Amino acid sequence: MHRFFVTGIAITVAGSAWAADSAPKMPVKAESPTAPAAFTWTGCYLGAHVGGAWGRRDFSDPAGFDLADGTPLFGVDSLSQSLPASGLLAGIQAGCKYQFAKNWIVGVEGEFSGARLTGDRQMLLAPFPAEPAFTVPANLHVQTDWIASATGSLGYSFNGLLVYAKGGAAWARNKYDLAVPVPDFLAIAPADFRAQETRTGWTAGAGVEYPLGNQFSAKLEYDYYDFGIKAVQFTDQLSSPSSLGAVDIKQHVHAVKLGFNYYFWNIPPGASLANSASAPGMTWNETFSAEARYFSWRGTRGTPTNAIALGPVSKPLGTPGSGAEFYMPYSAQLVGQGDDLKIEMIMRGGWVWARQSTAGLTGTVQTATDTVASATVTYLGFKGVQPFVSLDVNLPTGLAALTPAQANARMDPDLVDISTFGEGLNVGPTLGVNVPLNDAWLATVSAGYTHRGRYVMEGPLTPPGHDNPSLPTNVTPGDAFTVTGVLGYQAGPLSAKVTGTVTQNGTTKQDGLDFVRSGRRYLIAATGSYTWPDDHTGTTTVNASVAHSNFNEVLFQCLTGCPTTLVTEPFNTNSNLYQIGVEHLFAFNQFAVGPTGSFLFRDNNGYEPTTLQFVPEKERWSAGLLARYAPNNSLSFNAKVEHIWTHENDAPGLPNSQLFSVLAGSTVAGFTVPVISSSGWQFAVGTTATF
Amino acid sequence: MTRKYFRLITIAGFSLALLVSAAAAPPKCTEGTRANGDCVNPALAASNRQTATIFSQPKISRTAFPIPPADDRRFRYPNQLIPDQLKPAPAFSFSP
Repeated sequence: MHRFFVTGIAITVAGSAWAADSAPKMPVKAESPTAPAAFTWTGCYLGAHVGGAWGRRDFSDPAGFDLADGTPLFGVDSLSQSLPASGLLAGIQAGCKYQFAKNWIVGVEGEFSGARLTGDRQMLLAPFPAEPAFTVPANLHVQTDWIASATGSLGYSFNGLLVYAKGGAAWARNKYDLAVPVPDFLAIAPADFRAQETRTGWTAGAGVEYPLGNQFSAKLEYDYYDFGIKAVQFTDQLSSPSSLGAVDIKQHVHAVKLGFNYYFWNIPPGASLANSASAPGMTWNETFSAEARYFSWRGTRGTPTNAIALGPVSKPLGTPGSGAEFYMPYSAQLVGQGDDLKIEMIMRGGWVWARQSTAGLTGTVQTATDTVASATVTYLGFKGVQPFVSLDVNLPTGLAALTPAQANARMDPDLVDISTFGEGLNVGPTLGVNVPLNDAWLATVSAGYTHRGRYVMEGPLTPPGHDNPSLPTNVTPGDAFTVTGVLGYQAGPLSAKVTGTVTQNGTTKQDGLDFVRSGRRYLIAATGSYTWPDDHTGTTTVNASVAHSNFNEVLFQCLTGCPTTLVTEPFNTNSNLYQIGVEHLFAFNQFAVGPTGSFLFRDNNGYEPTTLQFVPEKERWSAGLLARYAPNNSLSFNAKVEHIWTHENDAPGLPNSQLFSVLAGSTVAGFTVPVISSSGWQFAVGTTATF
Repeated sequence: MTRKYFRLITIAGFSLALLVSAAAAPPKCTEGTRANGDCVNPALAASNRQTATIFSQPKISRTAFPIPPADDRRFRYPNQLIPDQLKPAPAFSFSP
């Protein structure tokens, strides 16, 4: 505070700048042109942010909701749903900070985030108490359009890194749609109950903010919003006079935001943090990276490849299929370098549009993907060893449970990049250490534990018109523990690395019951790179890997006399995986171009849950061209075009033409998995910029 | 569960802040020193550490690892297609 008064800056709590004590607006003390400006967070700012958010809506105590003919929609089934909603948000913020007592900072801030946080739940409702088995399908859709807040904050500056907590009031705008498309053969009318509301709640959060220089700062922030319980009124859009309904809805939201602020008030000329002598001891680099990728493929079957629909509809999944996907991943990375510490932080998100068509069945989805973030701190103060600790998280900002209209957009992940768009909140700490053996050799060992959060996934894909729509499934995936060893070599034109891992998996639960415990997994991977001595010959890179998993423990699905605990499967349904890839880039000053190719082989049948399919013996080939242009050390562009072929053999997975049926709980007479061939193209362009 | 994550994030935040506060001077060796005092090969150290942290979290996400998109080609395989078996579709039979 004293420092503040000496410089003559009269401020309020909401005022002032983050730069120098010698602020220009109160010229009490002349500043030497060469004197370094002292560092302060005091100032006002405008900024913008992007991020992801996820949360739940808990529905309870419904009243009303009568269909047009007076049938109570919730005659037997109460509307007791806990529905997740997630998605992206982006917005603006403005506020002021005041630094006092040397390193403490208080502030106020207003923030507005436009959002698209959505969630869907398919339900089967039993409107007739006398016939509880008689059900009608319904879809419940929730959406949040915006979230706003007014908060106060208290923080502490560690060498310029501001660590803060915040709290205050919050508001959210929500929409709801409960659609009941009753089939024609039922003698009751359909309904479409809708509602919208703005609700008030509270928020609390914490974050870090760091100056980037030139009056800009970057911040990473987590916020929790609690909007409590509110009775929401619904109106049927299809009946006249409109039928009404009311239900209590509890809402909370978690959000992670990456933002930038521009400090516009009380900034002395030339006193930005980047060139201040008393600025933080760490030097920071920011890197932004984004790519746009497009995939298009055709195959002799769609995905899933070896299933056909029962019932009155034709067999859409047994016919040729095609699909396309546009995927745009992006990341922001912040690397801090100190004398004894190195800090590496990255956040990555993405957006995807995907569509698959087979005869009679098409699925289309567009959604944000989950957001992943990681922070790694390496201590450099020891001689001979450099320990590090890392914390990774997967934030559930993508769609995990797809609607029937979307579910067929899950495609073969060997043909497109993304076939799973979301899951739960996963948290993974890792401990490790680098051990330099000499200038050219370095060994690394690490151990990571991954806690995987619960999420809701749609039931099995149901063809249109099917009279037994599937219900969502609660999935609690098993945790994982992995030990990794890496041996690296780099000297002159040659670099190489060998990596080995062992992963022990926990038990995956489905709807609260133990369902499968994946076998222990072993993996070895190697990569080598050589830069040829001639001017334009360039660099050749080769990589290869082999993975093997032990037998799974599974809960047999059968009609009678089923085991109630997990037992070891009689045959290993995990496929060994072999992969090799090669690329060569010819160098021409700032430009490099060259061929790339890869081969992947799965040697046995295995069950792939992402697409709910058994993957038979399979080959995947790819060939294409890579190009890279780097006009300077801070900016690069890359492009890739690649053709992909996949081929699945007709060999059954088990000897003697037998196949293990999970449904039957035993082997059954083997069928011939049809020969399936697909081919597709991938086009990608991207850029990376470092500041 | 929410309380658990709050504690985790709080502890991580304070640890990060304390570690940052210890750093002050420009770096001498950007990846530390070997036992004899020479600088560690920086490219090798950074590459090994990234590989170790990614391979130690093979199930952190089904959509992407926490790496820049340009690095996807290095880590997409063999960590893709990790089997976590779920129920097969009851509405389907397997085709002949």
